Amino acid sequence: MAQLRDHDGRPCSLEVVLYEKAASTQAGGDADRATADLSRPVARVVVRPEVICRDHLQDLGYAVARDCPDLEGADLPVGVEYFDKHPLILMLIAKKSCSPTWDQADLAAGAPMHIETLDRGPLVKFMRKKGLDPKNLLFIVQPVAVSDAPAPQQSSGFEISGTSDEQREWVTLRVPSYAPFADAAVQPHTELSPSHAGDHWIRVCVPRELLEKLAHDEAAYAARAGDAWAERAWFLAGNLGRQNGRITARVRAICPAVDAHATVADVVFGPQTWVRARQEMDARGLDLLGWVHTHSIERLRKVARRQPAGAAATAAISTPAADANGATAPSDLHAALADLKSGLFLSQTDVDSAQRLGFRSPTSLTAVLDADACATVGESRVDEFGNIIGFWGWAYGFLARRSVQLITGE
Amino acid sequence: MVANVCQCEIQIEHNGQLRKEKVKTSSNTVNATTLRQQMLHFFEVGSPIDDFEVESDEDESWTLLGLDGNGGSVELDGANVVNLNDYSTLRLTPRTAGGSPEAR
Repeated sequence: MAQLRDHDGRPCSLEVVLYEKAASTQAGGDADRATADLSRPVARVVVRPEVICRDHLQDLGYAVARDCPDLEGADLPVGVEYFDKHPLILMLIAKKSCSPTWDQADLAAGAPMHIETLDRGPLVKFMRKKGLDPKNLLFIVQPVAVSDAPAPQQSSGFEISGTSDEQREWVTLRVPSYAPFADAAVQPHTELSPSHAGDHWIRVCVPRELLEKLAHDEAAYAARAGDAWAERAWFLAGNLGRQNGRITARVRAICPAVDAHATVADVVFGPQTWVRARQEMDARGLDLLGWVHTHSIERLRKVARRQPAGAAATAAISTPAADANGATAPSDLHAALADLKSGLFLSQTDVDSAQRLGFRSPTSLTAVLDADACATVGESRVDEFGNIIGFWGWAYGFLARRSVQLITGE
Repeated sequence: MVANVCQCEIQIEHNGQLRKEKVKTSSNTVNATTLRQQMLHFFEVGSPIDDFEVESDEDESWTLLGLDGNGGSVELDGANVVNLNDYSTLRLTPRTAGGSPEAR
């Protein structure tokens, strides 16, 4: 197991400490807020830092490339800082050398890691295996001294190993490289739903003609499909590189996700979806930049109306995890649908897929196309895209609305 | 240490990249479910805990494909025994979903 270094330069791993949840007794407090007796942990488990932090290490590597282009391609050791006063946040630090010191000159970049943003799926499985109910537990993550005990064997009678048995002492990250675009000129553009984050994380350029074509295609499909309408999905393909020194994602094609299976409430990739998409992008020399899928609030409401209250099909429609402003949405389906003004939201399934099933790169885009707004547009020219499509992207473990530049031309 | 019984290429579509590794295995035949679990474990997807045994991919979020080198691919699933010599490449792709999983 590779190791991090703590602030004192000592090798460390990460430990998850689990506590039993106690409901808040604060009068008038948030009903969902819970507390725990931090003096009585119910379980401790050491986790592999290079795995549990993998997504955040990717974010950190990206941040180094963005802010220190001269370090592109370098393998940097990673340390961790832990703040007793803020136990829910650890700081991952990329260092320029394996020196145990934390001199300012030796630091390449840092990235906060809120433990809420860790992929908790494997942790939940682990808790269940130990007979613990994850719903009744809270947890923190903290650095601990590395144990000398060997890691337990993981074997089920069949094993795979790499052709080299390299064991690195430090957790390291490879700083990604971004080649400069041949075209340095920044095209005239308008902003699609400018976000508070602006384009600091990454600049994304999308030809407005591509989005207009997509909206028209969806409108035509909806007219053909009628009541048989189902969600659809596409891949965003293009190039990732530097334009005038800034890391830029340039969307050049929107490719249909073939072999997908869909209903009015979901779309699921089939065995050939990724294979065919990768073949097409390779043939055209394009990178995977993200994905788009449709939502239709009108059709979801129609399905909800058809079903008696509490029916399985109604309850099956997932509630949104975040609305257009990123706020947590209510849990009740009918209330959620009533509150939603458009299909531009992410369901929990969308967030889970973006996190674990293909789109967790720091540059990945998750986009939603509002099928109802597309139907309104029909075949006419689209002047305002803000109510038709929304883009989200990752920043320090959270999916946030992403600022996108609509450009003219290819 | 894994015996050098069979050498093959395994791939995973993960975080926007197609990651590839040349590997050796302890047998040239294995059932598809075990192979999928071992590949997830090899690529360190979803097993970040020290004493975490290799478990079943409970939500079956990944599809295992055998690629024959001529552009053809076969979905490998369940307890079917896979002969690793039949495929030039084994690829895991996510069963990406938008919307509601419960509606399926």
